[in-house]
Amino acid sequence: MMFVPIILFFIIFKYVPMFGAIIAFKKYNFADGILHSPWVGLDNFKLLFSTPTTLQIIRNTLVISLLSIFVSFPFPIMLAIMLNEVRRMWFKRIVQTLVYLPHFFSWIIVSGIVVTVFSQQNGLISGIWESVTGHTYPFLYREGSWLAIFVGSGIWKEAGFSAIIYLAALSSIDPTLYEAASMDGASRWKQIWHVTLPGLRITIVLMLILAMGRVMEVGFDQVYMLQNSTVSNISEVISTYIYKIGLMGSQFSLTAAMGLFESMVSLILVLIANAIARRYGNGLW
Amino acid sequence: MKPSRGERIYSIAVYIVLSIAGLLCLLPLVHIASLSISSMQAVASGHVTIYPVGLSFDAYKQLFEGTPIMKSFMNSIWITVFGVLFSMVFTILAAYPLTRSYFFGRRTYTFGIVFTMLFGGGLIPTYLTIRSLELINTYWALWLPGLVSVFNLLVLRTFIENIPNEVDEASRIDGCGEWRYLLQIVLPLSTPVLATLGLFYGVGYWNSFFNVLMFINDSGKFNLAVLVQQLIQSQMLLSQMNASGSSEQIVLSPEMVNAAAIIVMVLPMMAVYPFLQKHFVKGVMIGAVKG
Amino acid sequence: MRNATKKKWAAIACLLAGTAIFPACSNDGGEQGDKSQGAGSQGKSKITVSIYERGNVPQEMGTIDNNQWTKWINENGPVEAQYVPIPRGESVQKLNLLFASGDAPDVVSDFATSFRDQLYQQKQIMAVDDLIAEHSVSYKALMEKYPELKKAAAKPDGKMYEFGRVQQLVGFQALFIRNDWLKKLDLKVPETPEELFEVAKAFTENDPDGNGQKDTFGIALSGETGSAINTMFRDVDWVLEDGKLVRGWEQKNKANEFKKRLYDAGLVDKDFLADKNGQKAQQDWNSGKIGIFVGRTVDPVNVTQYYEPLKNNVPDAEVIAIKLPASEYGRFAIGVNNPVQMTTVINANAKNPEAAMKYIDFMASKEAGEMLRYGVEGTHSVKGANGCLKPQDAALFSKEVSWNIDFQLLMSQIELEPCAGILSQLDPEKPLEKEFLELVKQNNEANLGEGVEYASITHGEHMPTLSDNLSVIQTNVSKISDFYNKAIVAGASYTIEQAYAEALDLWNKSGGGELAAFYADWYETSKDTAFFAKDMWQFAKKE
Repeated sequence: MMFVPIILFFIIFKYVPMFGAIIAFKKYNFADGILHSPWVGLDNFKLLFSTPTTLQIIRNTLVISLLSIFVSFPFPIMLAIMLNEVRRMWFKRIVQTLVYLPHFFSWIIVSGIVVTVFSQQNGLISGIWESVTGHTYPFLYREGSWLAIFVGSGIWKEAGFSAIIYLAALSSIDPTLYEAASMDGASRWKQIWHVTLPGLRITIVLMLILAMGRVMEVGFDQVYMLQNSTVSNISEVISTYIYKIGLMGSQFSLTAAMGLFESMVSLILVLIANAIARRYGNGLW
Repeated sequence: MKPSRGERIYSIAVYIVLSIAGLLCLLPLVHIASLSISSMQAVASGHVTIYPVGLSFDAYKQLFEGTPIMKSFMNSIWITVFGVLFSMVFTILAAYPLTRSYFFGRRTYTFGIVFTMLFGGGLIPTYLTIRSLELINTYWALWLPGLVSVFNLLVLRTFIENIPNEVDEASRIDGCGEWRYLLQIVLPLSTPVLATLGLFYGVGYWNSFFNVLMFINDSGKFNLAVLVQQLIQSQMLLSQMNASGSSEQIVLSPEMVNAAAIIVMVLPMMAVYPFLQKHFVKGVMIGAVKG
Repeated sequence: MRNATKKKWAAIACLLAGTAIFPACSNDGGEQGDKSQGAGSQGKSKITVSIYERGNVPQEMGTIDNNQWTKWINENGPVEAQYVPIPRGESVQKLNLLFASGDAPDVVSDFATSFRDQLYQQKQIMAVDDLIAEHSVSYKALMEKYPELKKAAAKPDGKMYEFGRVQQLVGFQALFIRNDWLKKLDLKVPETPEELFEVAKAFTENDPDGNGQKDTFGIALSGETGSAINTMFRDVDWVLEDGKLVRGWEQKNKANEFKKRLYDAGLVDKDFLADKNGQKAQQDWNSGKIGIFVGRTVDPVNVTQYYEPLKNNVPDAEVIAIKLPASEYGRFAIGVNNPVQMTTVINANAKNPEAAMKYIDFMASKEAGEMLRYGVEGTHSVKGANGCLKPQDAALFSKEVSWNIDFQLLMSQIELEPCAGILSQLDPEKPLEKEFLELVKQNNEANLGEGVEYASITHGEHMPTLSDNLSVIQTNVSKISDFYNKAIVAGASYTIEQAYAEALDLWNKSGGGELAAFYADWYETSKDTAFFAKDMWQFAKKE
C-alpha cells in the first residue's frame, strides 16, 4: 500500500515522458509538437545507419565501455577490502576520504592532469620512460596506450567513490564469521576468499547487472576531453557523435532514434545479465 | 595470538598501497588549490603545478565580491538537504515492499522500474511533464523527477533482502506490525547502506547542474554547480568559437578564480564524508539477531 | 494491514504537504522577480527577453535578470522587459526547450547562426520587414545608413528575420612574433611560408633566449596559430575557382604538408594535438618559450592575456604583429571580426510584436548603447583626453558595469566610434598599454592593409545552414581533419598523400558530393544577394 505513491511517481515522471521517444519515428518540429509532427517511419534510423562511420562508432562505444567495465570493476572491490583490513581508524578515514575526492573534479581538470603526466614533450611519465629506454613514447597518440590511459583515468577518478557501496556491504558481514575462520587458522587471504567475498557477492552481482544497463553510455565528457585526432578511430563514440551532429543544429528526431537504439541494446544486455544471475539465485527480478 | 610474518608483510603492503592511492588522489586537489592561491602571472604562464607560485588570495576576493557565490552556496545547501530528505523517504518506501515475499507482482514492478532506467523520453518530454505540473522554476522540478533513483532503490532493496529471515520471524512473534518492523528493525539495521544512499543522493543534488539549468528560469535560484559550470564553460566556449569563427565577446574568467570556485564547491563534500564513515560500523546485524 | 492503509494516506498527505511548502521555498527568488516588475513602469506593455547568464554578476548588484541596468532599461525604455536568463554554455538547449514548450521569450538573442536558422526553418520566428517599416525609428535609420544589415538579415525566402549590430572591421587575430629574437639572430620578418619555416627553425635551434638550452619552440601549432597556418594556404574548406564554389583539397594538402614539415623538423610542441584550445601554447608564449604565436587584439583584456605575463617573465621581450606570409594562393587576413553580426530574433508567437520592435529600437539606440557601455557619466566614466568616455575607477566599473555586455547585443559600436574600439580604451599613459596600442595598429594594418584579402568567401556566421541530411554528412566528413592531423604526427608511416586518399574515400562514401552540390548551388543562386567578404570590407576604417 505504501507503494502507491511510488507507482505514481514512476508513471508520471518516467513512463509519461517516455512517450516522447516516438519522435524517433517522426520528423519532429516545434510548430507541430510531439504529437502532430509527421510520421516518417524508420527514416531516421536509416539515415543514422546508412553512414559508413556509424558502425565504427557503435563498435567503439561497446569496446570502450566493456573494457572500462571489466577492467575497472574489481578496483573498487579491492580498495574496499583493503580499507577493511586497516585497523588504524585515522588512517582508514583519511585514505577513504582522499580516494573519494577525484570523483568531484570534472573531466576538464582531470584531462589537464592527464596531459601533464603523459605528454610526449615533457610529461612526467615520458621523462621516466625516456631515461629508461632512451627515447620518448607518444602515450596519448597510440590507440593502445590511449585506451589504457582512458580506462586508467576512469579507475583513478571513480574507484574511491564506487568503493563506498562495497564498504557499506562489508559492514553487514557478521564479524563472528571472521572470528570462526581465524580460530580455524585461516590466513588473511583465506578469510578474504571465504568470508569477505561471499559477503559481497550479492552487491557485486547487482553492480554488474546495473553496469550492463549503462554499456551504451560512455561518458561524453571523459571521451571529449581526453580524445585527440590520432586516436579518433577508436575514440569516437555515440555521445560525442551526437554532440557533433547537435552542433550543426538540433536534430531531435535523430538523437531520439539513437537513444532508442542505445536503450534497446542496454535492455538486451540487462536481460541476459539478469537471466544468468537468476540461475544462481541473485536475479533482480 | 601473534601475527605471523606473512600477515605482517601483508598488512604493510596494504598500508603502502593505500598510501600511494591516497596520495595520487590528492593530486588534483593540491593542483587546484595551488592554482587558486597563485598569482595571475604565474597561472597564465603555466608555472603552477603542485605548489602555489606567487602567493595571492585575489582569486577568492574576486570570487566572493565578483560573483553570486554565497547565494548559490545557500541554494545548493537548500536543494541538497531537502532533496536528500525526500529521496530517502521515498526510496525506503519503494524498496521495502519490493523485499516482502507476499507483495503481489513485485517482480513485475521491479522490471518496470529497471525499465525506466534504460528507456527515457529525453529532455523535451520531461520538461513538458514538469511544466504541465506547474513545477517549472521551483525546486520541485529537481526534487520530484529525481525522487527515487533506480540505482539506489535496487541497492537498498538488496540490502534489506539480505537481513536474515530470523530477524523478521522474531519480530513477527513479538507482534510487530509492518510499519513498526520497518521503522524499528529494518532501518536501524540498514544504517550503513542508508548512510551510503544519503551520500549518493547528497552528492547528486549537490552536483546537479543540468536539471537546474533547464528547469529553473530565475538567476537567483541557481546553485553552486551551475555557477562553477558557467565559469568553466567559458573556456570550452572559446575552443568552440575558434572552430566556428564566431566573434562573440566572451568573458573569460581567470583560471585561478575558477579554481577557487571549484575548491569552494568541493570542500563541503570533503567535510561531510568522514562523518558518514562512522556509520559503516561492523556487526550491526549480529546484535539484532541475538537481541 | 489496516494500519498500513492509514499510513498510505499519511504518505500521500506528506506528498501534498510537500507541495504546500513550495511557495515557501520559492519566496526567495520570487520577491526579486516581483520587484523588477514593479519598478516604476506603469502602463507600459510587457515583453519577455532572453539574456545570457554567465555567473559573473556580483552578488550585491542583484542578478542578471534584475539589476540596475534592467531597471534603467525599464524606466527609460518604451516597454517593460522581463528577462529570462539563458545559461551561456547551454543556451541552445535551453532555448530549444523553451520554444518546444511555447515558453520562449518574445525577443531572443543568440550568437549561434545555426540555431537561429533552425528557428527560421521551424517557423518559430517572425519576418520583420513590416514591423521595421511601420514601427521602427532608430533601427530603421541604422538600416538606411548600413544597408548591409538588411542583406545579412535576409533568409532564403527573401524576408528579413534578424536584428544585429554593426561594428568597425578590425584585426581580430594577430600574428605575433618576437622581434627581439629576430634581431638577435639577425633575421627579417618572414614574407613567405618558406621564410616562416626558416625563422621558426632558427628560433628553435639557435637558442634565441640565450639561456644555453634548446628549450624554445619556433612556432605554435595548436589553437588559433594552427588555424592561421591553414588560412595562409587558403585552407578554408570552400574556395572560389573559376567563379564556382568548390572544395579546396589542394589547399588543405598544402597547409598540412607545411604543418608536417614543422612537426618533423621538431619546431613545434609535440603535444599540440593534446592542447585543444591552445592554452598550453599561450602559456608557453607567455613564459617566452614560443617565437611565433597567434593571439588577439580586439579587447583590452588581451593585454593581460598575451602581453602582460610575457613582459613580466621576459622584461626584454619585444613583440610585433606581422602580416600573414603570402603563399602561392595569395596573402590573407589572419582573422577579422564579423562587422555585421546578427544576434536577435522575434518569437513568431510574441503577443505584442510592436512592443518587441520598440524594445529592439531602444536597445539599438545610441542613448541606450552609451549608457550600457560606459555607465553613468561622472559616476562610472569620465571623458578622457581623446574626448571618449572611459572608466573612472576600474574596480567600480568592473563591479557595476562591465558584466552587462550581453545587454549590448543590439548596440552598433560603429555609431560610437571613434570611442568604441580598443584603440580608444587603452591608456597611452601606461607603458604596457601604450605598447599594446602599437600592436593593435600593426595588426589592423596586417589584416586590412593593401593587398590583403579574406581567405574565405565570407565570415563563418554568414555561411548558409545545412539541412538535416547535409549536416549529418558534414558531421561525418569532419573526421577528415583527424586523418590530416594523424599524418602530421605520424612521420613517414602515414603521409599527407595517404591521409588525402583516405579523406577522399570517406568524402565519397559519406555523400560529400551532395554537400559540394549544395554549396555550389547556394553560391550560384545567391552570389548577388548574400553577405560576402567585400561587404565586410565596407566596414574597414577609412583613414
